[in-house]
Amino acid sequence: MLENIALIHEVHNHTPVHLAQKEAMEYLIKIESEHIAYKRMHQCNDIELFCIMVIRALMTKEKNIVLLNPLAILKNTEFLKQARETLSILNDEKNIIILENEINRFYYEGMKALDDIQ
Amino acid sequence: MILKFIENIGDKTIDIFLEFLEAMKFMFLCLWHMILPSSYNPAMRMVLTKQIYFTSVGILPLFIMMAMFFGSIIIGIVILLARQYNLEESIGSIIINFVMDEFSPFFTALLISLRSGTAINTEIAVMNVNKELNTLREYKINLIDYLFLPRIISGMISVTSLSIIFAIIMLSSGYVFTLFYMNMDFHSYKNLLFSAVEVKDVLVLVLKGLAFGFVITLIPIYSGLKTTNSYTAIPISVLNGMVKLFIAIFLIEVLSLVIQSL
Repeated sequence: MLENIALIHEVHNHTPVHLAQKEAMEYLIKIESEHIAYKRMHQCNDIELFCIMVIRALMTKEKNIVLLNPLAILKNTEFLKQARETLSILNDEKNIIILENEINRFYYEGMKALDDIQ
Repeated sequence: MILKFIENIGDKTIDIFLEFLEAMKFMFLCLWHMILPSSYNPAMRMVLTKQIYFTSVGILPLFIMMAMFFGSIIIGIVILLARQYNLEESIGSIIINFVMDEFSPFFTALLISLRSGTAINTEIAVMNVNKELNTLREYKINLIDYLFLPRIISGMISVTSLSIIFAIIMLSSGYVFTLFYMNMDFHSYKNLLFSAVEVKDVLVLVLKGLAFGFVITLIPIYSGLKTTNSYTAIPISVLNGMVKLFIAIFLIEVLSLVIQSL
């Protein structure tokens, strides 16, 4: 998973492998998930995969990040709070837009929007 | 009815020709990326190193054993046949031509195609079906630079270097037979081989290794990319890829024989 995240900087910024992996590890340490670094995809649970996808998206140069149906990835609504906390800790520069089915609006009520939930 | 039959043959021929053109286009695209310096980013170099390790280092113990086993037996048979047909004076050049020009590159190509060719074909086909290739495209990661080129280059390096290793071990282990059957000392055997080796033999070994390595990786990659979006299409893709690969290997072998005879 560490290589998966570090790939973005290695390809787009030609960052050396050890530096790119160090940057990726820093993101994982921020969310206290260093244990994910050396797991393979089938060994990660849904929230871990979500965190990896978010960190990978944050590594790109794009200003806006769109999360499409996060509950389809998380599968368990109890992870939604943890996912929101992860996004708050990790993101300080980009616009995060969550696109979700209307039927799932209930699970987002009571939460302060990070940005827009559409 | 006959007209329909002829039409079908025509349609099939055009389809095969168009497919061949598309494959040639993919081949030249990969070759072009191979010479571009921008293709060699840190991620690509890491994948290349790993691929060289998996393709050539992983197989070394089995490879060395087979080279020693086949080396002593096959060179023994070659020597027996040379004696039977009163060709003892040409034993050196017969052994060198057979081992370096033909057997080593061909045997190495077959072994690596069965081992790595099938693995690459399956890997790319599974990535295609799982939409992992789409994810890489979304992140603007060039598939040729990151996925295909490391495998192609590692195939070329691995097959060439393993062919050279195979030839050396086979020639060395052939001494066992000459010692017991011809009472030849090692110094004489060594001189016999060195006097028979020509630059042409080394060139043929290296060029055939590079050509075999190129097709052993390119054809499985192309076949994997053509997999339709279904898991049941994966074994069909591997099957088709391997058949085309073996045809290509035999074509290269025949072509090299024709060129050497000119």
